[in-house]
Amino acid sequence: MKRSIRKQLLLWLLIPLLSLSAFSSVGAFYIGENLARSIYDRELVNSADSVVARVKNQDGKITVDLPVAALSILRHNNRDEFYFQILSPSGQLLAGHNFLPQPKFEQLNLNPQFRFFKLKERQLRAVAFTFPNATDNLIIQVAETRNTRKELTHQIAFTVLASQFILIICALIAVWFGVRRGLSPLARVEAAVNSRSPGDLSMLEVNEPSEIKSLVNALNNLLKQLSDDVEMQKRFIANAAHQLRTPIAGLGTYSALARKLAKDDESKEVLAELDAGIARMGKVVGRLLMLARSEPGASSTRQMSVVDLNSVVSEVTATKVPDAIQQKIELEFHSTSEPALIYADPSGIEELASNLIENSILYTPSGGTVMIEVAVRNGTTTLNVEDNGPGIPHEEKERIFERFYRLPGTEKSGTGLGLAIVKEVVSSHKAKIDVSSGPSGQGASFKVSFATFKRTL
Amino acid sequence: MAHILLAEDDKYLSDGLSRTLRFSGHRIDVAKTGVETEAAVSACDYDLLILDIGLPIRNGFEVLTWLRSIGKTLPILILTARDTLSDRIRGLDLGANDYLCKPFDMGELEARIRALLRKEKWDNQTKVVSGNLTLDTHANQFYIESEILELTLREFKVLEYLFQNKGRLVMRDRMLDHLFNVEMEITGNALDIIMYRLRKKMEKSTCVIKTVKGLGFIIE
Repeated sequence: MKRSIRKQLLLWLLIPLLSLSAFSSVGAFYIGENLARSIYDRELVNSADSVVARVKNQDGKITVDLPVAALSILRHNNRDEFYFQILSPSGQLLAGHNFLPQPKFEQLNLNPQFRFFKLKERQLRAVAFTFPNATDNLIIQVAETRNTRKELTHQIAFTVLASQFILIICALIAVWFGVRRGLSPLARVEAAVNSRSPGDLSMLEVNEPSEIKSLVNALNNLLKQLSDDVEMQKRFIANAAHQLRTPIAGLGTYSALARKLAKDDESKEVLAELDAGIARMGKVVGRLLMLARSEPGASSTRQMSVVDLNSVVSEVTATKVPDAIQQKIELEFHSTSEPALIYADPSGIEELASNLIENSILYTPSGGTVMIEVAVRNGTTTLNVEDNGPGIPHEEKERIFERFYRLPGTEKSGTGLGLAIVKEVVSSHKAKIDVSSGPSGQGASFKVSFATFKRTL
Repeated sequence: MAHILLAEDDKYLSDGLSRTLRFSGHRIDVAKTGVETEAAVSACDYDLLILDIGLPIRNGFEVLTWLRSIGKTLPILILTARDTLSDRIRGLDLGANDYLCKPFDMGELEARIRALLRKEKWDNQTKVVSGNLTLDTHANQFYIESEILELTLREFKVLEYLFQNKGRLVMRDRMLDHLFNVEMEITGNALDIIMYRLRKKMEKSTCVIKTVKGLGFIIE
């Protein structure tokens, strides 16, 4: 089950809010009723007092002088009925309404005694007390229906409930949007992770609230551990490759000696093959080392400086000339008249140029041309290595940068690591590489674009 | 041919290397540590030192620094598994004449050894050959087969420099620098004219000066 923070938060907020509102509505009802009771009970006693004031004792006969107009004043409003009765201590109705149930006489005194009772399905509130008359203590009881009381109770309860309801709605809205807002630092962490190049294991640097800090720290710890592991692996590869160099060089000397000692052509041919194999092995080892050095984690070892692409590339090209001549390939080098300055690691650029040029020489058939060009245009400094060889099929353009990937059907003895190194160098310099066909639609063109170095004053 | 000291601690490599170089006619001594190397160079005048960086006791850089500090001028070729640009620059800055990384091509090593010996003792090596073109360093003369190739002084210096760097590309700028150093300063345009004339004169030769467009020249 997918758990949503928002839903959980809503749930955890709703439970107390709803129980609070249930509790407070019961409370509101109770308070409302009490309030209504205390207000209207007082009025009811007032009404009883008014009735008592109207009691007349004429020759031992008790009458109440209560005209209809006066009676209606005693009612709160049109919705409520008002009843009264005057009783003798023996329970005899002296005046008033006769259908009211009589109060319990033994409990009565001068203090008003309140009670509820039901009459014809209607709830009534009644008050009774004794009052002194000429001869005797008489009993007055007044009663009224409870419509107005209920109304007040309901109004009070409704006011409380309505504000509760508004509070809950506000809380829900606050949670709904607050969660999104509160989680936005997480979204920024996500963006920071997503925007990384694969293999970049450097620390995340996100300035986040303290709640997120621990997550970022945990991520950073993991990254650190991973990069340590990767670093160890790389060191292992680098060490292994390094350790292989001397014995391979030794092998080379023996096979060269054997070729010199060989008497017959067949042995010479076999030993030449052996030599070629050793040379290739040496190349793979060299490239493995180069690759271990050019990976992102190793970027800290890069020594950046301002480099003239013309001079690095021309030096590298010069070292490739003998190979090109041997393979009968024409090399061309086009430089810019002004220095083509970039901010880069000279070793990296050397490896990049070396691999691109070697690659082109290797895959261009005899009689072909490899053109190397340095150009500066619109703030971009480019190195373009172009050949008129068989080119690279469109669907292979991404894959050629994978380690040990070889174009299907190639018989050339490349290491399969050259372009992987190129890619690492390109990405560690935040440069861009485009692979396309040559200008005539034939051959392959590798164009690496760097930001031109600008001297800031 | 030459007396070479090989400073290399890996026995397999030093055996193979010294046997191959002996086969080519050199006299080879082997030193296994930095201290041994320093002692050997002090005791005997070698024509060339092939120096590994990863030597025990005192490493190659230390040996190199010391040898240059006591005024030893013998050519030193660093042969090492360290292939980074900064190591190469350091080695050359400390006074090494050449730098080759392991694993190397034996042919290339021998060519570089020849070049270093040639630079140092041009006079000992009287004849340098490319195709049917021969340079007699004693007579300061080029011959096609046995016929003298008539050259102006500048043409001779250009061709001689190409011969000294046989098999390696000579960058235009470096050629101009070289001519400047031997007090034969010329402009880039003049160099093109000299090249044109040289090629004309060498038409009968099987030695070809190849031009790499935008870069320089090379003979094989």
